Amino acid sequence: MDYNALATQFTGFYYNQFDSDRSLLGNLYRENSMLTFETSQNQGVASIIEKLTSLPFTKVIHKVSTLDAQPSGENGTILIMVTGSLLLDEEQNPQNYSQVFHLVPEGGSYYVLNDIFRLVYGC
Amino acid sequence: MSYRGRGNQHNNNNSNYASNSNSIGHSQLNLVLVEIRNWNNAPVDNLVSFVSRKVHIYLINAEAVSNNVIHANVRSNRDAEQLMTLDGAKFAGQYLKITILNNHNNNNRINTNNIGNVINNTNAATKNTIQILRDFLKRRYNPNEKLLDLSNMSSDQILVSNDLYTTISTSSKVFPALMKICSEENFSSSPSTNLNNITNNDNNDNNKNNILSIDLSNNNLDNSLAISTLAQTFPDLKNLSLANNNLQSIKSLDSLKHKLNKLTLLVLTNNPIQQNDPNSLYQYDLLKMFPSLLVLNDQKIRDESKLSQLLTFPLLKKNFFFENPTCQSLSSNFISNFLNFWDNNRADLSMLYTSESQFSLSIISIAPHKFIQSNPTNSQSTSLKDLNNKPWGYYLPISRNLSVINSDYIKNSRLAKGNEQILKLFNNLPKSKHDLIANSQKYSIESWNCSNTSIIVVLHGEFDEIDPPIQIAKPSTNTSSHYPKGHRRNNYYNSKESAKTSLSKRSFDRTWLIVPNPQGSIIIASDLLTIRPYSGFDAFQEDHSIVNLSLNSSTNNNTFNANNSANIPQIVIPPEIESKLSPVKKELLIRIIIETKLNLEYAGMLCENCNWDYNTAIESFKSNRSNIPQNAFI
Repeated sequence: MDYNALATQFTGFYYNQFDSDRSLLGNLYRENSMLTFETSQNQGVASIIEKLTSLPFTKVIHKVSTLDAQPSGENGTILIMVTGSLLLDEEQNPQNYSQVFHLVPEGGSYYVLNDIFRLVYGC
Repeated sequence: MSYRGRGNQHNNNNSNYASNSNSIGHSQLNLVLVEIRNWNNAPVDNLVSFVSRKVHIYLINAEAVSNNVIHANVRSNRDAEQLMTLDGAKFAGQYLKITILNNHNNNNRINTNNIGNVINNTNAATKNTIQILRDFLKRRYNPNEKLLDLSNMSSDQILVSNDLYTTISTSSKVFPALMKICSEENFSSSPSTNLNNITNNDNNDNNKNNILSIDLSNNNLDNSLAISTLAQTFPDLKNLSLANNNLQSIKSLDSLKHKLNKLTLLVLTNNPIQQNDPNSLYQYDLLKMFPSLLVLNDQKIRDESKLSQLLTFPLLKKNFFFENPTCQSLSSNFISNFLNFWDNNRADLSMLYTSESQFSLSIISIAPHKFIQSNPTNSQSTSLKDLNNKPWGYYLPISRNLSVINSDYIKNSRLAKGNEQILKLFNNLPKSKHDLIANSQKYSIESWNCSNTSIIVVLHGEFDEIDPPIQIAKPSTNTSSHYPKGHRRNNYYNSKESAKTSLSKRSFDRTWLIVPNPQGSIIIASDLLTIRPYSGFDAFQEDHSIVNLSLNSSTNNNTFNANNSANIPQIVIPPEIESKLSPVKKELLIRIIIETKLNLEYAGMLCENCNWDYNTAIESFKSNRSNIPQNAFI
């Protein structure tokens, strides 16, 4: 599959799932996956999901502003860089974030090796 | 007399005001102020055309200053004398009464239409007007409550008797003039300080702290437009009452939208807005318009603790994060060298890329509200508006934002592969300046080993564009449909001159995948750059409230900026305790220590007792605070 389409599809799926039920994101990660949320570091599926579900909001809506992707290296990994906004709970003013996903092929599909999230400004 | 010697300063300060006046072109003329009474409330325009028809004189700046009085200017004493021939003429069923108020050969205008201009004049009558407004503010200021009471201004006998005031909406220049005076006055919370003491430009900062509340109730306001200068003078206002006015809908408040970002209390009782919207849906709009709003009328509409929690994730903020010391020294060296070349000799960077390397750029040109508004109390924000209005013409033809581009051809053609293409794309970007070394707090770096051989480095920060690109990218034909809404083709520059004026400050995020080789040099495999409207660096500000429990020096060695690393406060939990904590618990514990200032032992007890729940722990801390022994704190 074309990496551009894959990146678009992946981010679409990821943010939809995150916004509807982020506890189900586990199958996108593996034991060697690393989540960097702001500057906290979580490795492995259980730890990543624990981190994501413990974030202090229940309702969240992601909106992507920029999306760029590059195939990286010979082993078919893909680097995706996203910026966007986050609406949390009843709050009407978005936070803005930047996120990098490093996708690694496995079987016919991909998993997230690195997920680096950073708020870039508040409302 | 406090006015002495201030003429020049005020001339400068008031240049904004003067430029707002529609009469600036007349300032060289010897304008004469006239007063016309008994016009019987006919439309002002009718009177102007009546005069023009009868004596061929044009009334400049004609404005009703009260029900029965019009002030206007004429061009010369001769015109004024000519106008006097209409004294006693019949107009709209009454006999006009015309008086020449001022025939000095200077350009004084006491007309309320021009109070803003008049402030810088030294004419006695003008001084009088200002003094009246100043005295009014003085009477209405309550230093104990830091409240400026501007309620029911039409009942103020002195304003009314001086023809300065009818309602805010009709006396459109009075409120801006009051705000102008406010921004120059030194309101002090200490009652002994003379309100008339003009000191210096710090006044505005003082006033920010000395006026936290403004009462504009009972002013028959139907739109916030008349009071929009409020937000410029008091951008940090906490409490505002607009009760008992005539505000019809949320739209009536549009001119204050996103401008009072610290407003926590708003009173709108007894406005038609409530009847017009029985389900109070306007509350949601208010939350958007005023991001810090907590209380509407007497109702809590936003949970403060939740708000602050959302705004500050319960995480230890750090500018820099490196997975391990090797990663750190590699990536910090890499970034400082890279930016140095990027700013000074970009072409030399091509040696870091191979024929397989890739570079691409994506842009988002829409700035968040917070960074568009102008804020005269803060010189940085004043320029923000300008900064973020700068066009994106250099970037649009090369932006590869997959979320807005549909064409596969464009997607592929905008990914640069190999040194040659990459360098070509680099040359399409303006010459820039990053100040990472001098101002590292404006940047954020994270780096991770992503396989045995490569490292991901992420940098967030800002740069100044200092010169147009070496080569300006031309938009490919038929691509306009791929630009995000709002972009126009006229963003492209034909001349170097016009190109220069479009330079701005931008924020950016950049991700590199770098491969160090055994010789000590590195290769850049991937390079993704996102450029955004300038949005400051608040998000990277470290939590300085943190107290060092002990110092872990090994992770604090920042190789390219030793000063900064010394400022990175850290709470280090002893290994024997840390080993028993999950990452989530560890983070919670650190947060509790930061917020409560409890020492490790007591913070640990608190977390344990509260089942490691943040909210419970904080609540429990607050309610038991008085019982906590002194030695429990850091």
